[in-house]
Amino acid sequence: MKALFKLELRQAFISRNSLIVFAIFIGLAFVFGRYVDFLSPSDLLNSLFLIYLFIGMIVASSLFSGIISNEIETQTIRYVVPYQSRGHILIVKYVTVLIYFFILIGSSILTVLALRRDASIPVQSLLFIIGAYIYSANLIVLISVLCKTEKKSIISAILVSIMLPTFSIMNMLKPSIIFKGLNKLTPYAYIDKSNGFLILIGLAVFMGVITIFVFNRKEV
Amino acid sequence: MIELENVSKNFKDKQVIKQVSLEIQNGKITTIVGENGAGKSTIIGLICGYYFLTSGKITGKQVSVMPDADNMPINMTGHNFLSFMCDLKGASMQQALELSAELGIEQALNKKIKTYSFGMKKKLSFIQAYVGESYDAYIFDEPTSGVDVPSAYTMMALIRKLKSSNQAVLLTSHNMDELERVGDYFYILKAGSIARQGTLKEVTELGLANRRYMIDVSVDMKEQLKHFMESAGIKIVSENESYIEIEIMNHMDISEIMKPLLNADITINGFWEERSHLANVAF
Repeated sequence: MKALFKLELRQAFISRNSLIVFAIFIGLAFVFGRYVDFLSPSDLLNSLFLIYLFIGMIVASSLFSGIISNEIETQTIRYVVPYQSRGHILIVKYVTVLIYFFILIGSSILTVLALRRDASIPVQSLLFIIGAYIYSANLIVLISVLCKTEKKSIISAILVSIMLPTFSIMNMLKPSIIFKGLNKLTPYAYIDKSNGFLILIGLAVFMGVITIFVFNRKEV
Repeated sequence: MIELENVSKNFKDKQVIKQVSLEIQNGKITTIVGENGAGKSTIIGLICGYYFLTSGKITGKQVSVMPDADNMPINMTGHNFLSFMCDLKGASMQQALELSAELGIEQALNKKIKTYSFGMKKKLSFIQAYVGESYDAYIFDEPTSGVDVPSAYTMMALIRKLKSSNQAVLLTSHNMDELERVGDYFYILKAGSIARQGTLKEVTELGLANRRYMIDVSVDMKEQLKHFMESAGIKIVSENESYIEIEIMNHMDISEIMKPLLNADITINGFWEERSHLANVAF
């Protein structure tokens, strides 16, 4: 498991795309920290987290939605499956995505705090963004397990990343039972909700169970 | 050791493996022989956990396998790939490097796999399957196809070494000579079923009532030899300029013929049992 984890981390962080994503996130944090003077550090981070939530899901879709589907499509997974349980493979992939997200968000927060020389962090917003990224990581891995090719999983994940805020916006503009129901499945419904973190974890666990169920029955 | 009991596999409505039972025993090289599409790779896939059984049972699932070389992670260097596989399997990287030198790819290890020829990929895949211990079986799926002849011999010698250390080995190949040389037990697979099984002698002799021998004789002695055989009641099956082929009943001892033949002052250059080859019975 350690060997697979080392490999996944190396592949996640040492790539041109991943460096570009880091540059965008840190760049945004730098611009917000340096030039958006009218917001307090806490409000600044609140706003930044919302942007990160939307961008983060699209970024994760393009970087990680092939994390399983690509290996099944190219059959490189056949070099791993005889030596590592499918459950362990999933855990490694999932934790890799999470670590990537957390380092990304952590370094962005540090950039803002360093520029503002202020250590006040909005705890509820921070918990929300952590919950939202745990939700996103599960969603991305689930899509990767469900799709047969990397191309399909990337397209599906990007579409879902765009559809989730769309459901939320539609629910605000044209409230209906359908949009209300769909909105409840997105992280956007739980912004500023005190129990948002727990609900997102609940949704993530639900997706995780489906992912394990599907992957354990998937022929590679 | 790995044991398959009445294993069947369906892909959608098509049954590709039908009630297959086989054993991969320790200290033996077991081979599966069959045409493309006979089901060899599916059986390997079932043992390795790529596919799930439709019915039946597999006992012992800890295998070290050489999958298709075209499925390697091509953006890794050969060295990084071997290092990863050794970490994953808890195997010695030193052993992997020694094998790389033995198979002549040590100079290429710092290059990305996508720059490798098919034969080099095969060697790399072979090495990762070979390293490591404590497996119920080692599985080599067509290890030498596309590999240069000296390296193919080295690979076969290494596989024999596994056998001599009491490991169970499953080998498939389209090179029948190679399989005949190293195989201990053969399963002939036809359309997803085991058509024949046994040692080389058993699978190639099956169905033949009599044995045939070729006798190499100088041209001037040939008529004398034919006369000898006819008077001894031995059937001559075929002949050419310097050989005659005889057929004897299975219960007869060849020495009963050869001893009087040598005493009859007929110069024999050589003789051997003519038998059916694996390719004749497998395809």
